[in-house]
Order: sequence, then C-alpha cells, then structure tokens
Amino acid sequence: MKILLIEDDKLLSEGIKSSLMQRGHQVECFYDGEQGLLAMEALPADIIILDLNLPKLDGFDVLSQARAKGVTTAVLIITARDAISQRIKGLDSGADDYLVKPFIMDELEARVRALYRRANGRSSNEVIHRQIRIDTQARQVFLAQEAVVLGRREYDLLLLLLDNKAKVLTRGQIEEKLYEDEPLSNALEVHVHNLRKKLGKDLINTVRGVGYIVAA
Amino acid sequence: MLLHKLKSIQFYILCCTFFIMLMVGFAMLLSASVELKHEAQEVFDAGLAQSALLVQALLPKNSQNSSTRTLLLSTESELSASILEQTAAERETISYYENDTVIIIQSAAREKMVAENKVILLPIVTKEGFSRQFLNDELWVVFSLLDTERNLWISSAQQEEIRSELSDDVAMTIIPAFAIGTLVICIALFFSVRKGLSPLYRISKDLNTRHSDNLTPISIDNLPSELKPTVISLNKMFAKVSLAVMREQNFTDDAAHELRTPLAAMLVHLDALPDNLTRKALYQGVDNMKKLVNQLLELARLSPTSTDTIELIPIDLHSIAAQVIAHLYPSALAKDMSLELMCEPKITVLANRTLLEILLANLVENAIRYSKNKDLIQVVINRDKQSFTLRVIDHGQGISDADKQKVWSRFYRCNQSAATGSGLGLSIVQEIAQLHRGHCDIQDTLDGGATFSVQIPADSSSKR
Repeated sequence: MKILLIEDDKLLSEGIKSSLMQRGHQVECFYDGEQGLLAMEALPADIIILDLNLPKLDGFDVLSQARAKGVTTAVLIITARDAISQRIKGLDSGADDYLVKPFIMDELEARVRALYRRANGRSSNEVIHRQIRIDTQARQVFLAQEAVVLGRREYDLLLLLLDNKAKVLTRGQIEEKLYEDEPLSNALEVHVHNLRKKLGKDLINTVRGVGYIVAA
Repeated sequence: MLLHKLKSIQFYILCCTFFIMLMVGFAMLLSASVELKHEAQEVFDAGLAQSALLVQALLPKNSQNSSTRTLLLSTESELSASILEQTAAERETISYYENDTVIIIQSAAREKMVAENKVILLPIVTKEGFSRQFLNDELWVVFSLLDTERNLWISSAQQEEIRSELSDDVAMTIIPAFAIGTLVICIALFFSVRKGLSPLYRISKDLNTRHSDNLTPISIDNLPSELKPTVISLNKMFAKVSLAVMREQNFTDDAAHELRTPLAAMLVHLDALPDNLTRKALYQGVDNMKKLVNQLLELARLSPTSTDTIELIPIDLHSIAAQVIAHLYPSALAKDMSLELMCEPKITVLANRTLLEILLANLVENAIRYSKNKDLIQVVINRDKQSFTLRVIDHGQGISDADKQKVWSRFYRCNQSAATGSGLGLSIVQEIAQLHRGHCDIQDTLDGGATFSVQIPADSSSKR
C-alpha cells in the first residue's frame, strides 16, 4: 500500500521507510508540517503516518487543516506524548489511531494494516491460522482441509479471536461484540468449549478472570 | 541572655513585665515608707515637745518651797494621770501615758531617783532636747527640758516602735493594692499579648496543617505590619521552591519525551538487522531503556505539585485489572506463564484510574520479570468496608527479608545480575499507594515466591 510518512526525525523516518518498504509498501517521507500538509492534499495515499511534534506546523494543525480540506485518508499518529488528554485531542482532530513512541516495527505495521482493513474492508476473503482456514465470504471453516460446522456465534467468536490474534480479549469486549442482549452467564464458556472441541484444545487460551486469547 | 533561649514570646513578655512591676513596686514601697517615716517623726517630735511644755506650764508654781514628793503628788492629781504600779512611798516619779506618750517628771537630783525607781526605768536625761535611749531593750525617743524654777526634769517619751508603727502601717496598705494592680496588669497583658500574637499563631497553624507539597503563598491580608515582611519573604521562598520543583518535573517530562524518538529510531532500525543474538541483545537493551523512560515519565507525573490534584473517580477495579492483564499477557505468554485474575466482577472504588493502572502494571510486570518460565502469577483483589487490597502473587525466587525494606527505594534492584528492570517500578507503586493514602507490603508466598500487596482505604478522598 502507499504510505505518506510525516516525521521530522530523519533517523526514525529512514528506519520506518526502509522497514516498511522491505515489507512491500511504498513510502514517501516529509519532514515538516507545511510540506506534510501539501503532500496530504496533493498525493494519493492509503495511509498517512503523522508525527505530532513537527517544525513549522504542529501535527494537530496539519491534521485538522487536512480534514477541513476534505482529506479522508486514514491517519495514524505517532508521538512521544502519551497523556490521555493528548490521545483524546489527537483522535478528536481526526486521527484514526494513535501509537506512542517507541514502538517496534511489527506493531506499527499491524496498526497500519488494521487501519487499511478498516478503511477498505478485508483484503482477502481468507483468514488462516495454523491449520485453520476460514472463508469469510462463504462463512466456512476448514481444519486441515476438512470442513467444520460451527454455530453462528461460534463462527463470530472464532473470527473475532483470530482478528485479534495475540491479544487478550476481555469477556466484556467479546460479549459486547457477540451478543446484542445481556448473554446467559455461561454462554461464552459454552462457545469456547465447543470451539476447542471442534478445532483443537490448545487453540484458545483462557486468561482466568480476564478473557481469552489465541496465541500467534 | 534570656533572648537566646527565648521559647515563647508571650511567656517572655509576661515574665519581664512581672519582674519590672515587682522592682518598681518594691522601689515605690521603699520610698513611700522612708518618706512617711520622716514626716511622721516630725509630727511625733512636735507632739512630744508640746506635751513636755504643756506639763511644765501646768505644774504648780510653788514648787520651790514644797518637797518634790508633794509636788509630784499634786501634779498627779492635777493631770489625773494613771500612776503606774508604784507604791506611794516610792512615788517620786510619775509616768503618764497618753497617745502612747509617757510624761516623766523627776527631780534634778535624778541619779538617786533613778536608782530608787523599780518599775519604770527612767530615761537618763543628760541634756535638754531630743535624745534616743534604750530602756528595757526598747528604743525610746525622749524630749527633756529642765525646769530650773522647780529644779525638775520634765521629759516626754515615746517608744520608737510605736512611732514607726504609723508609717509602717501606711506603707503596708500599699502592698495589697499594688499586688492586685500587678495581677490585673498581668492578666490584661496576657490576653492582649495573646491577641496581639494571634496572627502569628494563625500563620504557624496554616503552615502546620498544610500538606508538605503545598507551595501556595500564605495570604497577607489582615496581617499586622510587623509580620508582613516575614510572610512576604516566606511566600517568595515558596514561589522559588515551587518553580524549582516545576522545572525539575518539566525537565524529567521533557527529557523522557525527547528520549522516545531516538529510542523509536533505534527500535525501527533494529528491525532491519538479521535475527541473531546481537540483535536480541540490542533489542533487550533498547527495551530496558524504553521501560526506564516510561517509568521516569510516570515518576514525573507523580511528582509533588500534582499530588494535590489527583482526580478520584469511581472506577471498576475488575475492568482495570482485566485490561492491565490483557495488555501484559503476551509477555507472560512469551515466558509460558499463566496470569490469573481473581476478583469479583464490579468492584467500584474511588481512585485515580491512570495511576491505579500504572500501579498494577508495575506489579504484574515485576512478577513476570522475576518469575521462572511456566510459573503462575495471580492477581487477587478483595474489598471490605474500609479498604480494598490488591495482591500480586508470584512463585519466583522470592525476596529475602533484608531486601524487603529496600526494594521500595528508587533504582534498587535485589539481584543485580539477573535483573533487567530499572529499579523504579516499586517506588512508583509505593508513591501511587501513598497518593491514595494506602500502603504497600511484601510477604512470602506460601509455596515460594513473593506476594506484593497494596491496601488502599475505600474512601481515599478524605483529607490528604
């Protein structure tokens, strides 16, 4: 995908650029707010990575002016400031995600991908995890090429967990996404139990008292 | 001298005043009694002389012819004086008391008469006019005159003691009046000094009750002019200190933030290196630095000036703990550990959300860092009426009793070789607990390892 990177620190900028290019993305770098704003307006891009602390024009101003001029591209803010007020201000001025420095490249790329997916829908119709393959268009699940029959909730739960691989989802988060109403107290446990029975015992880890995780 | 060990201004003023009053009073008493005595002596002397002259004038004229005895007898009757314990035969002297005055009339051949007198020892008059003589061990003032016509000595005498009685009495009446006066003045002084010093008391109370981190200036309204300069310089000092604290805080904050960008650059460039041991080591180093920077920021956020304004809102402990654990679970998973939360759903407490998250994250990170692979780490949250307790239980190498106190201090690490932490985590935990008026403790886990517990009163908002 095509990424605009607006970051004044040359060393960081080069690092991100080469790393993202290694991963098959096109990256263009800009080093101050004014340049960045012009680029955002003029250049077509899938994702914009924007530093907040920029010379000439502050990142917040770049973002709000770009949004005012009709730039709708997804923006990921990278910043050294992690105060909650700053986060809220960033998201309020039109950012789509917020990443605090320092970060590892995997995380940056994962965020970029997630943003892209959110903006453009799932990039492919397949989700693959170890021996499990999901055809999201047909809503079909295969374990080692064998079709597995899942209930509606079980399918949704599996997809949710796989979309958030290596991340603990708390019960609250899962229940909010899966059920419209307040679920029965052990409904989630039953679904997890069924998924384990059908797809393998060690697919889903329980984090006792917290929620569930699918290890990467 | 006294000022050197001045303990209480009020006490000092009272003592001084009392002492001065005492000295002045004593001097007044002394001068009054001397003056009175002098004046009284003059009055008495005049009286004495007058009495003697009066007696002389009253004596019968024919004394030249009659015997002394007859004369005395007639004098006796004429004056209707009381005869003092003398037999008639020996009545060659008569004594006459009036107004404490004794009148003595004796013949000029007094040596004989004096010898004959047994009761009243007559003054041995040697000259005309005033004299002082001891009789019966008592001092008498005697006025004598020689009646040459009748060849008689006429003396009037008064006991000195009686003469001074008057002046002493008058002087003595001053003492109670003076004592009452002194007392009244002292009491009045006590209250007025107290009232006068009340602004001082107010300031010291203000300084005593304020939080040690409160550097706001003291109000100088309604202060007496003597105290204003002191309070103004105190306020200036407060301002200076608060500026210094703010600078330090800003510096830590800025420095930590500025460090984040180069750290990010290092991390990003590390990604380009081939995956080998060197990269792992470098990555570990950068990661440690990242943690240190984050903790410095947390410390800066906790620093004094922000303590008075920590915001307490009702929060759900379960959801906070779940989020912290969810966030840290991947690093536990990397070491194949289990991380458990034991907490009933919906425990609502009044606390600062961000700070509590930092506290819990630090404890759990610590537990992960110091536990062995495949260990179990438990986060247990209980609450009762007065307080809630967070416990992070690990089954790692544990902490020796000697280290249990030290681990809370900044940059302290128990096991220098094995540690990868910054040594700031627990001091941050402690500061956050204290901001919530709670306290931290370390126990041994029953089957090995350490249990860190933080107890925070349920109503941590009351009086900080």
